[in-house]
Amino acid sequence: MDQFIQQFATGLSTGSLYAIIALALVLIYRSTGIVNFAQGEMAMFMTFTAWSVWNWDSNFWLAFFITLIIAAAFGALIELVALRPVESGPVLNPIIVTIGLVLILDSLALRIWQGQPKPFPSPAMFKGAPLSIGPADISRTNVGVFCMSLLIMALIYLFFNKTKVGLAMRATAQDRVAGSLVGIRVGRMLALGWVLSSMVGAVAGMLLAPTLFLSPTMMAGALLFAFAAAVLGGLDSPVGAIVGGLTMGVVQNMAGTYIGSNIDITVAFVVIIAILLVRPRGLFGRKAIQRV
Amino acid sequence: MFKPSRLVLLVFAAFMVFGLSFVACGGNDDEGGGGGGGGGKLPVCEGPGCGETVGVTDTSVKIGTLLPMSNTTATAWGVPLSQGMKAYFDYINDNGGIYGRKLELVVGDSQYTGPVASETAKKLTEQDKVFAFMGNLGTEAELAVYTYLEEHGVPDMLILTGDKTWVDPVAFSRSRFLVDYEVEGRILGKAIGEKYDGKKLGILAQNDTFGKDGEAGLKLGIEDAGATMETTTQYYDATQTDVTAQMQRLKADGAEVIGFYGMPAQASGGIAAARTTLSWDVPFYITGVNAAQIVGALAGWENIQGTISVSFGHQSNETEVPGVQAYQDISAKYSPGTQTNSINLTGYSVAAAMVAVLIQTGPDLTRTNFLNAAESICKYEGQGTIAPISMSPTDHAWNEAEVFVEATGTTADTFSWKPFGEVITQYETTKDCKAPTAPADADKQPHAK
Amino acid sequence: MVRVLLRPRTFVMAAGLAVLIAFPYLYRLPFFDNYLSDFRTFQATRFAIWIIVLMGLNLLTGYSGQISLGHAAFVAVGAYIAAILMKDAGLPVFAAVLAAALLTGLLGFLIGAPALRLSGPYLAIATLALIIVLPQILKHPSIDQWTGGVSGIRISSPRVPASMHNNLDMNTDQWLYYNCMLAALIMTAMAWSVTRSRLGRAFIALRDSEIGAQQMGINVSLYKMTAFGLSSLYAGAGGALYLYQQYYVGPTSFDITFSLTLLIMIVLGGLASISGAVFAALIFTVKDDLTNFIVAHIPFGEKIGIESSRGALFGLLLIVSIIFTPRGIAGNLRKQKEARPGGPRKSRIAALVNKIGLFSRKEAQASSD
Repeated sequence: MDQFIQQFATGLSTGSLYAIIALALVLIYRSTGIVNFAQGEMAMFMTFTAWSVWNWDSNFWLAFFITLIIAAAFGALIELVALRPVESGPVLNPIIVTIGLVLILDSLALRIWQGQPKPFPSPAMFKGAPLSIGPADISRTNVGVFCMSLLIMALIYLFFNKTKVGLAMRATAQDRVAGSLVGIRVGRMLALGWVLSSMVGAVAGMLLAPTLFLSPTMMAGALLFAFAAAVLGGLDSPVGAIVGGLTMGVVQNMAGTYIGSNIDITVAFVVIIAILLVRPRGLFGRKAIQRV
Repeated sequence: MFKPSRLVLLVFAAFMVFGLSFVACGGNDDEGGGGGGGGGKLPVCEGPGCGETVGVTDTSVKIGTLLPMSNTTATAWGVPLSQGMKAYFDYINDNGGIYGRKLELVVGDSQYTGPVASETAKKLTEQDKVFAFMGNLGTEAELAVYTYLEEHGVPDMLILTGDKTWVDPVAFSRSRFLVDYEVEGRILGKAIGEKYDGKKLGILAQNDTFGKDGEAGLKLGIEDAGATMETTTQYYDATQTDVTAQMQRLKADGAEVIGFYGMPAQASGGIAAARTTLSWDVPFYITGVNAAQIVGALAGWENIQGTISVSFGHQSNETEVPGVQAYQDISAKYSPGTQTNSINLTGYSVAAAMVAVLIQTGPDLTRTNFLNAAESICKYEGQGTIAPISMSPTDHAWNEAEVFVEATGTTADTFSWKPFGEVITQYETTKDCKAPTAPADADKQPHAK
Repeated sequence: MVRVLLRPRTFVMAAGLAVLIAFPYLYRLPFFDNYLSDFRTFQATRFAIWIIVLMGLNLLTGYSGQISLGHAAFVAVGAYIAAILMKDAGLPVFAAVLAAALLTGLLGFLIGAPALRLSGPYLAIATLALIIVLPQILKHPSIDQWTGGVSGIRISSPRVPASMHNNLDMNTDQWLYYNCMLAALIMTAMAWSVTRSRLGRAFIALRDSEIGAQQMGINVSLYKMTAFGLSSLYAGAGGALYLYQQYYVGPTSFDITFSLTLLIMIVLGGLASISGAVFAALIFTVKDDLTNFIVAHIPFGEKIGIESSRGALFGLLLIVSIIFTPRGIAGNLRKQKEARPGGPRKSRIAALVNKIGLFSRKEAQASSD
């Protein structure tokens, strides 16, 4: 039983890593309708930027906020330069562009910062002995990641539901033509979507780097699981991203413990697909009504 | 509506035509491949890239290497390796080359996958016409090319993976640089068995040839020590960077010592998780690829104290060793701006070994002469390697000796993998050898001292 | 009949066929020897294999609108089945390739069943899962006696039949070329006839509007599963031929990068078009040569460290080509053709591609038009 509880807790910690990346994926899907394959690499790139800033002035929170500002500009730049031109083209094209971005960012990061993994600082409050909950130990970093995910989720919810800009963004994502008809500046809304998701990605990267270590490929594995988590929760649902991420982590750990560590990923994905068969839009996704 | 039967018919008709073409041509019923290049002779080979002096002129020799240079996680290895190789070749060329021949390095991008590696190997062999390959990295990539290279009689030297396939059975044209993964596991396993007899060993292994060979080695080593230990194994796949869950399971299974067979990110993560998240002060024995400064930095200097590993080479910062000092000097001059680290040093060592064989071959450079010279290498003091290396017609493994190292020092400046104990040479297959007669002008050729 | 033979198109096709047949021997002639070689023949063989693989993906994604990010998984399965049949069951190459194609097709058909309920990004990630989990399955101890576990399977290298070698002076590269190119021709013809059959029209109807297709009396489930099955059959055949050429397959021979690259290629080549798949295969074959060429010839390349930035260069090329040819090469050519006065009847392609409905900016968009 202790084993079960401990693995459950470890699953939640693993899951919180997926959840926070999944949040960034949900954010961009919700505001632009694009599944962003470059989310992981963008986060990685921003984390390296934070590392450079931190090397210049070793204050974690200073680096953190400077990076957030850079991330915002970075997101806008990517939208303007790479995504805007394919905006009106066939629907698969933005996806291909994001894959192209993966290659570019990977390669540039390798050139600028080299490939060897680097240690990344943790904020002081995440250091120290793990928290014990019953028989389970959870590291402070993971608790921190989890709390941050909840905070971001709440902010996304408030933003999309309570602010004018947020509502306009939702409208744009749903129907561009109608959006522009009622006077929404569609281009700005899409750019804002990239800005926000780039910032959330940067936060995710900086929080995960102490665990995953800073390297050009730090996000490659986690991003795949985050995709699964986002889809499981429903691609347009921030709550879904968190629930999906945690479910993914727990299922993977349970499979690893009780079935075998050499088949854990497979079992996790089988479970996710089984759930999707029952709920094809994810656990919290809204069913789209298709009209002819 | 379409009738499924018509489609089925169409498919079958198409395949019948397709099939007849095979049958009419007699199909593929020849005996197995392998080429058979043993016994000091290259296989018969006709076509581009075949021949004794391909890639050799009076003033140059072309050497190829297959490294992941783009589009993959392994680029982190490919780039520094190629820089290390190039720095050494540049140094040699600057000093006149070997018997007047400048060394030209042709880096082929394998992208670490079979389909690309095999195409690139063919390109380097037949289009660029390289004389030999050296330092091909990655088991997956090498598996896709090694029979092709063997059948074409292209020297496939100093392979940078520790898989036993490359040297067992021995092929005349092929040799391996890294220590056998299983042997390395065995050395670690023996040490574990001697110290922790009767306790339970937890193994954390990467789920691939590397991890599985290491796991087998660890178990053999325990037998070697005459110990009886229960073992429990956890695997991780390369996409999983966070191995906290695996460590937790090993703890729950009652492991009292950990044998780790995987890559630096997971080694560091595993150690850090054990010490901090799980508050678990279990001893670690980790595979040689992790005996690097970076693993200490990632795991945390305090956390990694006392961790045991093995190494076939010196650390890149052990400047008291003359070979390492030469490496630092040459790197600084010929590859400015490059980080010196153990990967970079390995590329440099491979290039140095290649040059040693070229010097031993003498001015009459042919593939057969070159490979014979490689087999005659005796007590070669490698650049940056720990023990003299000897080869023979039945032993095509370069590094077979290891030394134990222990993580010591709790700050970045004081941390090092401190060697301790005797150098373990019992797995060196060539015990006795006679130094070959050096070619006339051998001592006049440039090489790092 | 005579009239058909006299059409210009027939001449073009005959000339094309003649070039295809002569290609592997051309390098033995002066002039051509500067550009061609056994290595180019090898690449042409790969090209033929990629045609088959990409044709399958285009049938699925281009024609019937089902996105698949896991196509590489079927390629790997085809290669493994062929390897097992050749090595353990001792089947001749042809039988192994055929069986691998059919079995992979059957597997794809069955996997198509759960995929029925998913669409858009949900389907995309579900198919991506295939290629993520495949290595773990292949390595699992319960089946590693067949799959070779972590080491994969090696079969004997291909040999030219003695008669071919003696009479035509044919080497292995040429032999493989003829086999694979023949297979590619047959499977292209098959795809061509499928797209012009009722089956193909049903696929397109399905892609444009599932509900509409349903109302027209199309059995949506059966056709979707058929699309998956057919595309997997192509992938399996391609994988089996890849194995024959490469004589080795391992658990990570075909990875996620490879799988995503397949999708990139059909978009670059042109969706929902036979020639699009051929262009896609061509780009796939020459992309590394192209990057290498640019790396070697770019001015000041050394200074900006172009050597270690190949990935960035390829990514850049990719984005630029998507921006300038948003409908792929085939789509672009078609557009130019239409722009000419008296061009062919208005293409549906442009409208269709737009409406695939995958990754759509929400289905609501479709409802607005």
